[in-house]
Amino acid sequence: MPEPIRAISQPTWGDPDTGALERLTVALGDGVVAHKVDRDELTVAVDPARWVDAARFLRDWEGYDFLSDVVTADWLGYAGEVAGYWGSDAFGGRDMNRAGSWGVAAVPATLRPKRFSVSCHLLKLMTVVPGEHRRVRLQTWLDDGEELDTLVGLYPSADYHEREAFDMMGIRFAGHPNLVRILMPDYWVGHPQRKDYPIGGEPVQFSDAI
Amino acid sequence: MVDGFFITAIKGFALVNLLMGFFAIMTWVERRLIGRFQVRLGPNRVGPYGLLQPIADLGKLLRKQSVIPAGARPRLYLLAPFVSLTCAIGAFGLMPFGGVASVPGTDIDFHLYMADSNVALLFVAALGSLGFYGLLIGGWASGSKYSLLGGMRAIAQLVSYEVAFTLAVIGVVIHAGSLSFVDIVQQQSDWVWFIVPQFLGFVVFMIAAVAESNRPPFDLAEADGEVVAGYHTEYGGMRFAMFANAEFINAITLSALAAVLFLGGPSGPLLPGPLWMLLKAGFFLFIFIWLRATTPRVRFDQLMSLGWKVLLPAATLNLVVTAAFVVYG
Amino acid sequence: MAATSTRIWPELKVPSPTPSITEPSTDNPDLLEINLGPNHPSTHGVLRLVVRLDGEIVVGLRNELGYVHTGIEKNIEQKTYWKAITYVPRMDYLSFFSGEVAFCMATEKLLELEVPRRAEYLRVIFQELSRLHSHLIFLGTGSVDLGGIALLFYCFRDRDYVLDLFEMATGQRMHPRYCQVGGVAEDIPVGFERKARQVISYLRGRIGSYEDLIGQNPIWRERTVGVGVMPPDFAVRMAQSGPNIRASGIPYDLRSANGGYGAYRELSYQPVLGANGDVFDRFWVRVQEMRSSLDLIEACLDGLPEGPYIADDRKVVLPPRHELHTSMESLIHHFKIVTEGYRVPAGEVYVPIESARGEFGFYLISDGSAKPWRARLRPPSFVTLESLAALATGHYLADLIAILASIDPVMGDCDR
Repeated sequence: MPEPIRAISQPTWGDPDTGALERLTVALGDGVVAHKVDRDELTVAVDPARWVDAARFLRDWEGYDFLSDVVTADWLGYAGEVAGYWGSDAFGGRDMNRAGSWGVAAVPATLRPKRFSVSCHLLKLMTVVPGEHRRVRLQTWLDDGEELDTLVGLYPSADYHEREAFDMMGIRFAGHPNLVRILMPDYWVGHPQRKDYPIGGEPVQFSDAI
Repeated sequence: MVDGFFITAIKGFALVNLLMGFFAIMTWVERRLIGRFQVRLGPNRVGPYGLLQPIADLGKLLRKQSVIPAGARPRLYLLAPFVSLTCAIGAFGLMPFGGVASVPGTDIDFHLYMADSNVALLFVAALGSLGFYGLLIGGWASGSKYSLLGGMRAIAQLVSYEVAFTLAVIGVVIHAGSLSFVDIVQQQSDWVWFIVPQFLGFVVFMIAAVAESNRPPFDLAEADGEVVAGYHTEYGGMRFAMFANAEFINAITLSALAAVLFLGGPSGPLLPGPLWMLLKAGFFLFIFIWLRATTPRVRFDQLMSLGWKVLLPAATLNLVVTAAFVVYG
Repeated sequence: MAATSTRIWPELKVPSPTPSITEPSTDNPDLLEINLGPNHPSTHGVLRLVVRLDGEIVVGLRNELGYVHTGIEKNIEQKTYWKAITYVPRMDYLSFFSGEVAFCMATEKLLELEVPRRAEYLRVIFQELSRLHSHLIFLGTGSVDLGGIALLFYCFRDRDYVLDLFEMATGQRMHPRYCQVGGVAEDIPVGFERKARQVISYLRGRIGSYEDLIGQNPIWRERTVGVGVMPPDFAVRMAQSGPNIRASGIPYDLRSANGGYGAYRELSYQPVLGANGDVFDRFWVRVQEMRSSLDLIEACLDGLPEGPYIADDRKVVLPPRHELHTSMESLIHHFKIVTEGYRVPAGEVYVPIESARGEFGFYLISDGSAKPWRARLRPPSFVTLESLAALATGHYLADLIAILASIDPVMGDCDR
């Protein structure tokens, strides 16, 4: 008698911590720009000017003490005519011929027009009993050249993440003690993870040294 | 010189060559043994059972390009391996391998030792210390920071362990009443092997000997995980081989010394003296190899504190008790 | 700040803002600055540490990363999802299967695809095998860093038995690309279970002797106990994860946190905890984790459910091989998936799983096309190296090597 086919589960984020979201909204007022719960994941988008305030509130008052990750994404040309993309305008359902463009609706619409997103994944670790960890994605949106305050003072482990964000995306973090390239060589020009960074060839290094 | 000039010259020539041959075979033995300890085979491709591996290594090392690093001080850099090797071989020269033997078919008698010096033990200890100058010079003259660290470690190690080493040996000297190896061996065959009355001294001696010969777990001067290869990081080819050679011959010398001082040297029933010497020294060499195959490396400060806080008091205690025993016993 | 909740987090104890670089406190001109790496026997790849030494004591430390940065994240953005799976295990090449699983789970979360139970169990078996592989190499190379060469050979021999199992089931010894979106690529072959049980019982005995080798060797204990202590406070601040944080006594293990993921939800698993967070505990926790990995594999083999090994969703999953000869539709599906991939609904997900070195999270943004818009790995080694300077400063040079070995960075994972 074969077992029924059923999914066990994805790694959960825990239940979306809507209580924290409400309190954060009260604390920051207009600072919380948008939020969404998508696939169990709570995303809170905040005003870049209130970025550190939001993180400090979540750390000090909500117990989000563990910074998992700081990720940046370049949304230049998102859901447009990108490579490997073609689409119809049929929405709904999951099939081969569905358009990619409904991805636009899945991100906080109010801040979406800006080019870069910076997200940090925060985890409630020490302040809950083991097994009831909660995650939240704190997100903000920036345009090219805008600066964001650093989280290093709150979460020391943000140091390398922010250096990598600077290196790969060119996002500058104000107040970071050592904002230099970390993965690419110091003399590198450009920020490779940007969508407008050319791929498909690069100059051969050290060829003049032979 | 206990024999005539020609016999001594021949003996010297033979001794150096036998020592080198023994060294070559022992490197094979060491690698095979360590292979066995580490569940692998060890060298087994060159010649029967890989016995020709040392020769193949020699051929490879001889053909290496001679490189002197740009930051090195060339004369000292070239001098260092010679200092080490010369001291190592010189110290071995005084080891006794038996009493009097004669050349077969003739009536020419000769002694199975180069010289019966009345300061033989002191001489060996002195040459052992001088050999460290090779390490220091090599480490400093290489112009590399890793080498410098390795050389510094070697000297610090020498300073800490030479004291305990010598104090441990003095117990034997008090018993024997002589610094001459021949006398020490004679005393042991008359009375009892000194390992019995001098067991504490023996333990201190063995630990200090491992440190003296820069072997694991005290191989800090060339700790590959920390200072890459220590004082010989910048050496290649035969120069590196000379350092390795000197280090291994030091281990052989110290094994032979342990055999002479504590196990009666070449004295023993049935078998001829040189063979007894070989067996006893081989036993200690096996312990050296065993240690190398199995132990992690101690840290620098732990080495120092072991030397100064444990071995030195133990050796002093041993010395006092021995002296009291000899005077009042 | 709103007073709707009480302040939970205590004041800062960790030096802020940047303990990832330490500078000598004095202006001593006799300090020796040496470069450990990028070519150095014990930097586990191409990590470069700029060390300032006062005698033998480390007074300043700076990491230089990026020597094996190969732009894998950027590469993944140029590949269809099912081709990108191949890239992922090349990052953390020691616990390679965890990478595949993380990427596949992130894709499945975007697709909201259900994975059959049997596939989840098989994934756990191979995740635990690759954890074993990683910990065995960790133990061997860590032992070499401490000067004990024998353990390296013991561990590498045992690692080969683990890789034999991979070869038997997947055809590859490392980087098998066995995990597929929707399940695994193939069912395990006949005889796999028997061989796996043999290997498990063999490894149980071996791990017992490794426990003795590192737990009862006085030199080993001298070198490791009380060295490089990572207090719990520090571990959380510096976002340590995996065995490093568990050695500090914090039960943070994604296999059991929030009930775990995949088949871990159905297996009882208790995280292995250390007490002191020193080098010894980090070694000890990993050795004990090998034991629990063996238990988990055995439990999976015992409770391995029958059924399909991959989801039955023809838009995502390749059709069975035999159908290609009989069914035109299958052939078309196969062709479409292989040539242009499958479309993944737009959205962003972050899927953390527990690899051998900690929280191995995959962040994917999909724009609805067949290629990820943004792929980002949360690299545990990258994060753990941040703590190295704070841990090692003030210790001896030899301790720096021991601490570096004990936090178990893999530079492929760190630099990506």
